[in-house]
Amino acid sequence: MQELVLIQPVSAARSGLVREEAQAEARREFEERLAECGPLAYRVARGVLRNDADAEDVAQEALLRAYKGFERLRDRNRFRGWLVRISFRLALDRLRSAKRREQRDATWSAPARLASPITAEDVAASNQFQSHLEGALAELPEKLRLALLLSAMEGHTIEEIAAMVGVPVGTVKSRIFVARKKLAEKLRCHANTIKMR
Amino acid sequence: MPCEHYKDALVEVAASGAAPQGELRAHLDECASCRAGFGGEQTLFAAIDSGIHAVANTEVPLSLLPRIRARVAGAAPLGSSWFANGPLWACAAVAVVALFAARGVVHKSAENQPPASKASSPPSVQAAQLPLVVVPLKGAVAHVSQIRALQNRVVSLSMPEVLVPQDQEVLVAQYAQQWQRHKPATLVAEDADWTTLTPSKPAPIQINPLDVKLLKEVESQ
Repeated sequence: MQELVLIQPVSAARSGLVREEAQAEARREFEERLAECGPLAYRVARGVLRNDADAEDVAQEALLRAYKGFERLRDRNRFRGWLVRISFRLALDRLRSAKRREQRDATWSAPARLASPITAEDVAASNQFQSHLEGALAELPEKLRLALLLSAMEGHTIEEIAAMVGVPVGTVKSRIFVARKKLAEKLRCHANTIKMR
Repeated sequence: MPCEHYKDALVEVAASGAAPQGELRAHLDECASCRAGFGGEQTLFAAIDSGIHAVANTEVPLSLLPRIRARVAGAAPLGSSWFANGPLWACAAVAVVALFAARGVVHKSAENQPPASKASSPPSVQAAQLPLVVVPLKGAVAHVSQIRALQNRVVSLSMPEVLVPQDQEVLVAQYAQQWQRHKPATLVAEDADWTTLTPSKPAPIQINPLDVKLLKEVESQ
């Protein structure tokens, strides 16, 4: 005996068509945002992690999450700030888990672990002040770091950063100012390594 | 005035990037060591800004966007999350609730069975026969009829439903869609020779004679 199914042909077809059109539209819109904000996600992650491969992984993950939650984002103009927060949070998570892993490895293999010797070529090739700066940047509190990085990134204005991070303009200004002062305190002793360009 | 007094103020001014004003300006004009120190602070902050700019605007690898596109393409389509199919889940929830409610009514009415009949037969046989012969299904029937009425109302609010073979579901939907758009639907047997077709003669339906018994007779048996 042939099995029959009960359908509502017109309404089912119509709702299917409408759903498909909405999905295609949302996908198109996401594609535009991806081209515009993909590099930003990478740079935020890179600013936190200081590693290209990890930053790329985090940026991919952040954008994938953004894609999955794209339809829930009511105000699409807030996509940029939303993506920045996702990327920053994911990058911090990865940084913390890497630190934990390092500590664990150090505990288990402390005697065998030796620092790789720095060659004269390495010293010559690297900009010492820049590496000190990146180290000092990594030690900054998260909020200060994010504000400072965003202020230097892609020419963001203070107002744009405030909108992205979700804090008042005055708070952003204060965070940037404090972050720069903290960096200066840490780097003052390395001022003699500044390479003027 | 000692230079130490101006030190913090000079650092603040260098950090803000502004030019020193008033008393600070005057002190810098007359004190060479503070001028040098202030110059050093300005250089330090300029180097920090330059370094931060380099960190923040690092080159984005060319592979980034294609890889993300590939991952997005592999992900589930937008709006396919579980809560996006709200109406479907609502219908399923209603169906489950109705099922449980109907089952509860049947159980309740089974408990109301007269004790005489319980004593006359073993419990397992009794349980198997309850819904078929003795159970007064008044409540259950009322409940099921309410559900059917509700279903009918829901159906009448939307579009008519059609029974179709499972493999032809999509075809019928497409046909209906074309019809809805007032486009001429494709005829499957367009080129058929209608003159050679003969009306089909289905065999007459045979119904076995029904054995009707009164309820009293059934109970006595």
